[in-house]
Amino acid sequence: MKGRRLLLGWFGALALVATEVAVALRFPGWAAPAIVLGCCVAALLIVGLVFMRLPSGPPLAHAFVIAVLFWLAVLLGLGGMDPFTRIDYPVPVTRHP
Amino acid sequence: MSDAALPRELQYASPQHQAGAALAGMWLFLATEVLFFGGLFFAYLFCRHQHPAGFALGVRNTELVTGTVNTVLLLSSSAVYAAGLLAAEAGRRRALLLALAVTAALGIAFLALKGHEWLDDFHRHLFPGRGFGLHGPHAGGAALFFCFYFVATGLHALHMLGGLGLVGSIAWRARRGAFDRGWTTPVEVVGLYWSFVDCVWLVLFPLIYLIGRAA
Repeated sequence: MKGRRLLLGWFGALALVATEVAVALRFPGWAAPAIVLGCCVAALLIVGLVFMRLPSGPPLAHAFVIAVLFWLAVLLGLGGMDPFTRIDYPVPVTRHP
Repeated sequence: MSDAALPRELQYASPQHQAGAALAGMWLFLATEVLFFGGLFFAYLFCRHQHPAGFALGVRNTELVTGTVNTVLLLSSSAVYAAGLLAAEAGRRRALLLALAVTAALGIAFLALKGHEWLDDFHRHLFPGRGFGLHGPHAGGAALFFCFYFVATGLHALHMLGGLGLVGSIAWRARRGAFDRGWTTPVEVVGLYWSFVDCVWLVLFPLIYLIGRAA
């Protein structure tokens, strides 16, 4: 049963990688990065849930995973808030003596 | 086999307690690694936001076939290692050793392909600096992309080398029968690290080879 789950996870992850490549090559539109990153997240979930067996891990491991996702969101969210929302980049004034 | 026969340090109440502490410790280490790579990924996002055309130019100059084959190799190595863990839990030493050998071979194949790819990049003058091989209005952005490319893939390769050492140490201990009595925690702990290195590559792959390629 566990072996079958592993095999399905492996095939699923490979299918997701194939989808990523096909979408990146065939679709130049704005949706392509979203689809590619969506497939990437799905593949990460497969590795975490099936290969790394997170659901059967100790409760402390679950707490660490939740904590790191929170801090990663803080890092990317707060860090990106200014550069990704700023529309005006004033040219710095250089004063010559 | 009774729990009492499993190896246990005196500070733990039971073998299960010891195994849980070891696994949680590895997850904590991996959490610090996620934040380490998180800073790198944030730098990528910031630079890409500033130079979208330059980054797309950089992506179009990477070797997609090599990157895709490497992704398949790493995913397969993770799956094989996980199968090896199942074998260890079933007390099948030969199957575990075979899985460890295949895992290491796939990891070495990954590094060999990556080394070949780097050599090709150097020959095409894609290393940022004087004589950078890409020209035009977006060459500066492409040079930034290749800064990220070499730093990220280099750090990943260092983690792979560490992982290969750990897989080798598990194989050495398995050969001596260390995991024949139902105690497989070290196998599982190293498997977590190996799969984490796979996870890092799964994020790097679209950033380096895919997003912007069809632009």
